Amino acid sequence: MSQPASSRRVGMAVWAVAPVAVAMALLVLLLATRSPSTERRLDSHLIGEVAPLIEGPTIDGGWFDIDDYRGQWVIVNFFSTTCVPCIREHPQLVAFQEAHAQLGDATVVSVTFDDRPSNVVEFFAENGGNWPVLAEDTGSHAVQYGVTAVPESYLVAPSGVLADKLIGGVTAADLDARIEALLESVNS
Amino acid sequence: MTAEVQGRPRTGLRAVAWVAAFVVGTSALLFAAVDEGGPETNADRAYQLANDFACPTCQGQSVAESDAPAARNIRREIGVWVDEGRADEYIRDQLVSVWGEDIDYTPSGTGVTSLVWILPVVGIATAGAGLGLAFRRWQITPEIGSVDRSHPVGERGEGDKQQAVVWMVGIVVVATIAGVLVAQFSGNRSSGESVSGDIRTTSRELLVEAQQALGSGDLEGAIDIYDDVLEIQPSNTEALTYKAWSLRLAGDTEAGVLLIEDAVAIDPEYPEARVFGAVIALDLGDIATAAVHLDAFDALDASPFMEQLVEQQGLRSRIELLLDDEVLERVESILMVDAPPRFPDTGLTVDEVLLAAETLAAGGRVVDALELVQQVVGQIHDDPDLLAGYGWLLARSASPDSPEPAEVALPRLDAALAIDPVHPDALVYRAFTHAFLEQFELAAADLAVFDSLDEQPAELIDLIAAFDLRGQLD
Repeated sequence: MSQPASSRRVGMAVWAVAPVAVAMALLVLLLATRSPSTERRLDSHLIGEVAPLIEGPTIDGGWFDIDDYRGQWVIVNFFSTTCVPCIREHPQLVAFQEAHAQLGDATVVSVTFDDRPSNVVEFFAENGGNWPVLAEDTGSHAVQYGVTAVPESYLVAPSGVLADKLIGGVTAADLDARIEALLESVNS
Repeated sequence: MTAEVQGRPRTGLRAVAWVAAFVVGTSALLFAAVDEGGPETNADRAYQLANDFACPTCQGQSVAESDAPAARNIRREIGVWVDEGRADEYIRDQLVSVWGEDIDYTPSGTGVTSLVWILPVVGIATAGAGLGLAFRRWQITPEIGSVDRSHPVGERGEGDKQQAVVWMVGIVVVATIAGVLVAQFSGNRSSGESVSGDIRTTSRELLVEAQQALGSGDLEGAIDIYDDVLEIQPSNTEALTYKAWSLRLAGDTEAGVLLIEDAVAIDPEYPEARVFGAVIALDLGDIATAAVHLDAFDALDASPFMEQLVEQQGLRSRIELLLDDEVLERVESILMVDAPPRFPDTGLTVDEVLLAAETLAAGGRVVDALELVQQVVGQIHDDPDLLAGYGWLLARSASPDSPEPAEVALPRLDAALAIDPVHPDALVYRAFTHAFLEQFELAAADLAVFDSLDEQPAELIDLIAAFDLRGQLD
């Protein structure tokens, strides 16, 4: 029984095309089942890692070093005075700081993102907030934390490990709830 | 025969020509892809690197192309790293560790993303091989009759098919291996595995790592990491202190003593060293050292976390209790015997006697406490502390049904104040005793003198408040 030549050609063509088709199908499957890359870039890959070092001069002439705050929660808040959600969340940060200042268990540090130090000084004079604010050469901190847009806040645990990333404006209640949830997850 | 002789050189030459064309073409493509010429300046290199990363906030733009603030920050940071002389691998590791593999336009050669490298190689190689085989068969088919007439056409077809399958499987295997190799040599970077080596080399990061190991109960791991820190920085008080603590948790308490001593010598104001030092000293029964550490800790402006730890460990009450017990044991063995030595020969102090008496009284042995103090008062008549303490013990043993001890206490308190008219303890104790005996004016007078003192001991203020002495006098 001999196969016709045309049939053999078709068979060979199938052999040649099949691997390419399989490869393409696998690639499509791989790409289709993943979330968009722009979304994935928003996830912090630093959660559970040592929080990047933040140190530098503050707008009140002091010096901030995040390691000096080991033993308490630190809310690293990246903000800009020209960002509306940042302006809206500011009173909530003030409330959070005031509530925890007595307890000494948590503090806020603000790091500017794409803003002028003079604007920041004026903003805090008008809106209050007596926590450390870093406003000079802060681009490096933003890169090390993976900040894509403001406002973004990072919860640094008392151990110095980055515990959470909060995208968008926060409230004092949000922060308290998040800290409590993290503490519960650690305890359980 | 003539046709075969004439045909072989032509076929051989054609094959060589094809191979040569393939080699030259592939080499040229590879060379063009791999060697684009090295950057001439740091700025060139920074720009090339910026082109290798995706802007984190934009679609389809590289860091070099985008004007988004995040991209500008990354460009600036790449420039700084390049100026610092950092390797490309270091810069890639830094950015990938923060934003993940997606930011890297040259994907990793490990994990699922390695398929990006492997599949095209497999696909192209297999397809090329398939086409090659197809062309070969098309060339052979017209000559079937002249090549081999000894086998039926059907058998030759089956043999060719089997040969094709073997070739195809072989090519797929080789192509897969080639794809894996390409993937390995193209990337092999991830946030956890860096080509340039482990970047977590600073003592600060090691300390946090050690804390995590300690927190998860990996004591050996924590001790090893603290050793690494001490190798880098032998005077690191945190590493010394926490290594001592880890050793204590691992059961080797004595090994921690020297480390705590080192830590305290380097930084006497490091709160953790004081607290852990107190706990370790207590474990070893060295109550005096524990008390010294705790006193030093109380003088520091420690974090609330450490204060909580002291409370949780019950350090203050434990040390106080043990100190009391220790003193009582010493005093009882010397003074509460049939023929006690003269007090000056005992080596005891009045404070120790009073502390032992308080411990006895707190344990319900009030009569023993009074006898102990009375024995010393019989030998020392002019110590206001002793007289005040004795009077207070007597006054506290009085009750509304039996007020006599309070009446006996008054002359002792008077004697103390005769020696030292502003003795704070004697003033407060006598105020309480007068109030108990309903001599309120005298009590108020003693309290007024106490209030006029420049320094009023906190424990006496607490005592007045606890029993509402002022309220009784109003």
